[in-house]
Amino acid sequence: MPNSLLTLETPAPAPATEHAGLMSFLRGKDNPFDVFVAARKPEADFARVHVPDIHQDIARALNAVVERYRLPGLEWDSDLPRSGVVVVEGKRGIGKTHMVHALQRRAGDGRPCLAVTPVIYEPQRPFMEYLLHQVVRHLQSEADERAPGTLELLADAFTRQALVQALRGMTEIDWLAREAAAGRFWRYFFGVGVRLRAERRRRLIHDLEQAGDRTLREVCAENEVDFQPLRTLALQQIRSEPSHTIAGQIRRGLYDRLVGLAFGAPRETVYDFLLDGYTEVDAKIQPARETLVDELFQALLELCLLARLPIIFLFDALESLLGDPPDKELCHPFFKGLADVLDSHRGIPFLLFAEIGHWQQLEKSMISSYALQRIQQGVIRVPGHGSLSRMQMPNVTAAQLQKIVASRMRPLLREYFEADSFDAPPIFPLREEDLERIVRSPGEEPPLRQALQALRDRYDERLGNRVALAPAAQPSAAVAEGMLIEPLEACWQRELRKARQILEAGCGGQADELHAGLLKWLQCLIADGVANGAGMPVAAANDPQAGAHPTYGQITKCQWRAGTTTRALGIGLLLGEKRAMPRDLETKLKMMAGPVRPADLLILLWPRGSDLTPPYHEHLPAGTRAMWDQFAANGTGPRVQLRAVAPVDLAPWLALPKWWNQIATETPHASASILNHFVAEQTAPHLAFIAPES
Amino acid sequence: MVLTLSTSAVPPPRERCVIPPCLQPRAPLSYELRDEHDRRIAPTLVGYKLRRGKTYRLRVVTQEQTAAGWRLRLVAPRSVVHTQAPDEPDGNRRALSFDIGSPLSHDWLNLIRSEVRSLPVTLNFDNGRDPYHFEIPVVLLASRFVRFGSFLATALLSFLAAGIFKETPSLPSATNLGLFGGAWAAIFLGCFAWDQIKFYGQACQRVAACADPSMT
Repeated sequence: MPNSLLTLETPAPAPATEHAGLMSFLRGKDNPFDVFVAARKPEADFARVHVPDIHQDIARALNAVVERYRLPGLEWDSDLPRSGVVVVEGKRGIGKTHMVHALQRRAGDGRPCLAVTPVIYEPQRPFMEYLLHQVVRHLQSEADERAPGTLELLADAFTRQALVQALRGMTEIDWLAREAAAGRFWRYFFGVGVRLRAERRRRLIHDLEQAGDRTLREVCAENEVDFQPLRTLALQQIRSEPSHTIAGQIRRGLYDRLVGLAFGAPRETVYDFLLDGYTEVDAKIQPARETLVDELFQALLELCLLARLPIIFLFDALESLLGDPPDKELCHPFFKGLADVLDSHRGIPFLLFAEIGHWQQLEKSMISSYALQRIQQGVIRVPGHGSLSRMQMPNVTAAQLQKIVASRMRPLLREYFEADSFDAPPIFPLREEDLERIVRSPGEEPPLRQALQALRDRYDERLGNRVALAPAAQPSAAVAEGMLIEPLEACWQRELRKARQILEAGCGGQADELHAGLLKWLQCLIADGVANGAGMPVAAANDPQAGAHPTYGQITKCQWRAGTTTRALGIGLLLGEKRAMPRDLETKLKMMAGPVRPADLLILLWPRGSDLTPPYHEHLPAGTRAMWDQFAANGTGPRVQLRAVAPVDLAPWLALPKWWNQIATETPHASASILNHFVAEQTAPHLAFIAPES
Repeated sequence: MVLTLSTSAVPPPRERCVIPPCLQPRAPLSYELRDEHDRRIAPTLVGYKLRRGKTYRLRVVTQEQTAAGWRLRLVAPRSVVHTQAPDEPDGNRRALSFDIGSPLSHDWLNLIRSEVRSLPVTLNFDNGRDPYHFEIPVVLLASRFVRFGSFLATALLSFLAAGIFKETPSLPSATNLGLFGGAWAAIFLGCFAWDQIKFYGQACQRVAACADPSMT
């Protein structure tokens, strides 16, 4: 459909004689303006489409906010800047998501930061716990088998520093003894050649202190030091300090895993600790869940800040997270939680990207004055910008549009001319009058996305790939729906494929996303009135605090109607792996063992494989089976139905929230009923997974 | 009865240090022991070899490489070490002089035997960081003249005794002298060997602890 910006007049096609060869070459290539919607995650061609000059002032200010939290000499609590919020407002399609990607990629200066971009919001979960889970999810999602992620960099930096201090803490005689263990005992016994040995230690410390591109293993190899003793030394250094408090135990546990990771242990050991291990503390009275979460978050935050790696929370598309129009059930806990975190924790910047109208609605009726005042305080003392609390992204100008066109055309022109300079205007085949017409008069500039759509259409027209169309008649509702299905389907398949890849790699850390997807899915089915032979869901809600464990204590509640009877179902996911599996099952079974239960029946889905035959509990590993038997003996068994499913069967639930957000951005005119119906059609067979057996 | 409070001030509430203790730069960058002639004492696997009755100087450089903002203390038993004065700045480091107790000060056996000890050192930081403790292993050697002196003294006593009991004092015969010298050499070598066996055991223990840290 041609863009409305171009329908005012019909453009003249480019004369055939003008760069005829180039025109012919461009006709055989993809339209460089066909990408005008930023996906939720930065895509591979981010660098190609990024033009630093666009929204430069905003980018500079936001980069300064990030830099405010990159502290060169952090030592004391008071060195940490206060947490703050910056609200970035802009029209839909102005480039907010692209700005988020630029911050994630640190397109400005290339210095690393941990840019966490939550895709879901769980109002029932305590806000700090939600933030912690988002950080863990971020760390998991950036993991790559080939390149080291943030966690690896952090582990490496931490271990190097711990080793430096351990080596410094060794007396010369300890060092000699370490060297003598590898030979030359008698020489050192009589003090011969000790100076050379001391020099060796000095060199090793120097190499460990250098944060170059050498890995720990390479430093060891260069210094002819065995890998294993150094690991022991680093662990000794960590364990040399007393850790009787809850915070001390959690920190020591985290440091232990980081040292392990730096010396080659799988990163899953760290994830397991961040999701479960930190709850296993030695205390006479089990500490509150909030205490455990707070301490772990603080430990992780401080470690990142010490490594000059700020953790920024980028909440993009607030309208997707908090509902459009804003849903008070989502907004109130969100802003209350945010305000509480601003009060109680230092060192965290929050950037909220919101549509102008949406933010105004939020301010008007959804944010309490308690929260609003804290949000309005902003991020204070941003170098070169003072206090920043609110910014507005401006529309694109003709000059900026020209830069975008030149940037997107450059690779094609280079390819054709096989040179960096070429005998054609940098915006060829477009002309300045095209850009001026798209941008319209000052004050009436379109949002960036609309301008890019217009460029795409004009480009095709210039090349003669498409003829300018007169404004089309409004299509009928049926035709409009039919036209919508194609992008919905394409996006669905894309997200489903990604979700399957994630689940095939392991679903241990996906509990929050899966439950969010499960809830959204149930809401879609309920809205569409889907039922199967066993009944139908009639209401749904997530309950992350049904059990005591911060990660495993989560279920999705569902009212299930079969005929005239309605039952309260709980849907749980048995995602814990290896050592964590018995704890996961124990948490779930404990919910159903007490007199006050969150549901009448718990459907426990175990992503183990669909090829198992019932009774599924007989296939549980020995430790987990023992846990099952123990609760079964107490009479909990009939209240829990364990079912095995293939991990990829969970993919629709993992994909759904991302798909929904993506569609909200890409296809804003798709009505909720169409989306609900689409989801119901795609996923109705999944209802069998949660339908209670009689 | 009156309770006498320590003169040290009650520390005010301290701010929390964000740096984990295991990463705090509290351990010294380097330290050294110097003798009365300002010669650096070289370490051995057993420890730094110090002579009883001598004065030494301990110099410590912190990782900040400044003499301000911290103090150096040696908290060893008086029978082993006696510090002459508080620590003092010495360039970008701090230094402390100390005497090793004389051989006769506590135990006469110290005259002939060496002893493996450790000197506990504490670095106290003014900025609120936790103090850092470390121990310097040392070997307190008997004075090298003591063994020879004991030989002469014993010989003199023997000569005097002969004079008293035989009424006509005479120089010891070559046989007596040889016998006496042999016996003394045996004792001397015995003491030396005993020391070395002790040192060897200590060194082995230290090396084994490094090879298998679970032993520590």
